[in-house]
Amino acid sequence: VNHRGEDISAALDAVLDGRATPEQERVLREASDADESIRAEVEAARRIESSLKRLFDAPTIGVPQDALDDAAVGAEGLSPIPISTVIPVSSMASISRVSAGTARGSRRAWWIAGTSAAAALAGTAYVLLPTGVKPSPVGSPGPVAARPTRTPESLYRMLHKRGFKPAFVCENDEQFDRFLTDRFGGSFLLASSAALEVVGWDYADGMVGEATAVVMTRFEGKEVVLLVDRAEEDRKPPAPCDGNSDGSSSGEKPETPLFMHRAEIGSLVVYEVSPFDQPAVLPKAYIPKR
Amino acid sequence: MKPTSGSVLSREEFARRFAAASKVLWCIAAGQTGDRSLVEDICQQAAIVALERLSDFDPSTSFLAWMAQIVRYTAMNENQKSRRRRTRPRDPSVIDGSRAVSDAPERDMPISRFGHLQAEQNTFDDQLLGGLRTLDPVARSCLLLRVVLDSPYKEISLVLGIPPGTAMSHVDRARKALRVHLLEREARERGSASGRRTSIAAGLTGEAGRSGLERKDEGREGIARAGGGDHS
Repeated sequence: VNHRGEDISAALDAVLDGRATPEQERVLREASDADESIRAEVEAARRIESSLKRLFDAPTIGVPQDALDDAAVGAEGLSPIPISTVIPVSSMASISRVSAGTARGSRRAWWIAGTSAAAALAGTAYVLLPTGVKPSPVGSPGPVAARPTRTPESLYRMLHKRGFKPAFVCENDEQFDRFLTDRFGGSFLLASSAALEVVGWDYADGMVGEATAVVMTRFEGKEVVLLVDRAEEDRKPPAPCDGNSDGSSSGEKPETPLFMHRAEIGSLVVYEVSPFDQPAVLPKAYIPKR
Repeated sequence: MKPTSGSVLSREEFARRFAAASKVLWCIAAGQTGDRSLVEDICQQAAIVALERLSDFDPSTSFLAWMAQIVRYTAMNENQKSRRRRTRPRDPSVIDGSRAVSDAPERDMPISRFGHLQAEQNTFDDQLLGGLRTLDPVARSCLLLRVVLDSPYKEISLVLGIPPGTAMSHVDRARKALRVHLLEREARERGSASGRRTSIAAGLTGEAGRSGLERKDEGREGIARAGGGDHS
């Protein structure tokens, strides 16, 4: 009986797979005629095949056009950016957990979204107009000589508490590139990714070097802050820090540890501060081809 | 790894090859996640990743194998994220497992020889999807590639990085596991409906949950498990 069972089972496998010999087809047919349970199983097997084909009718999927467009801009300049090992900023951070979700859309779409957000900051926001970038020259935005009391962690928390609204935004890669070039003499861009949203800019003078700029981004819905400055002025910002230095979260229960990652991109140094224990945005950075 | 041939695939050629391979990639993503609602996003994320790494691809090698690997990794990342979240983003239409079925063209719905829609097809489909989720991702991918696309085992081997014999073994075992899963459920439901435990087929009282072939197949082990093992 066992041997017969194996034969029937093998015959069913072969029939379903389209590799059955005439002998196997005969064995299965006779077994099915003789045994109701086998007939039921054969019927179930055929129904499974039919349902799988219907339920998993794979569509043809194209590459998102905006991804192709963005790749056209950046592909020539892509080069691997060495990133230093993870530096835990603090395990005491008091960041409210940002709801996880997959950010979608192209970088271009996010630029537009960023513009809208910044426009809402009338009176306090410094919005770059499409007609031209107006960067703050090195050293001009205020007193920068003193070592700041703010740390990367407290900066991150402050930005989060303010609703992660940028001081100004760029509307496209060209503005992004020009701002960095004018301010630091070097530049990088961020490759498009469905998970990455470039929100805008802020300042953190003195945090890394004299005129540190802050790129505010979201990766997979979580806020990620990049601190950018000249590599030669890198003071290596302190980590960790006083979690309550700016008084923004006294007494709150710590929820999310922060991590910091460092990369040198051409003449620039960039620190990534985020809840991710692996660099999320830095791997997207590339030096644009001139 | 940089291509050795010195050439790089153009974006246009990438888009063309991606579209041509997309059905296979779709099945791989569906197999890895077991969740149809995530598949298109995963494939598009994988396309973006691939575009960013286009300079790493050697056009003289298999585009399908390269792209399939990226899809697998993207899907695995998505699985990990889903596990961390412990919840999954769901379109309301997906929450109702039968919705996809009702969305399917009517002509594709299974019909009886009398031209009627088979009874409880939606329930059957839901149970089938539940059974699929119990399978190992590799086995599930093998099964979908074979059943849905009728992919040759050589191609399944290429895109999943396993020997052809293992792919065939996965397919056979996965089919068997699904049959057992569905017949077990059917037996349980009949048992609960009638207030007594009955078998899946007449005359098999007390052996509910075991298929007819399985009972005749005592010598073989692990029928209900879609695990590894090569066809010898």
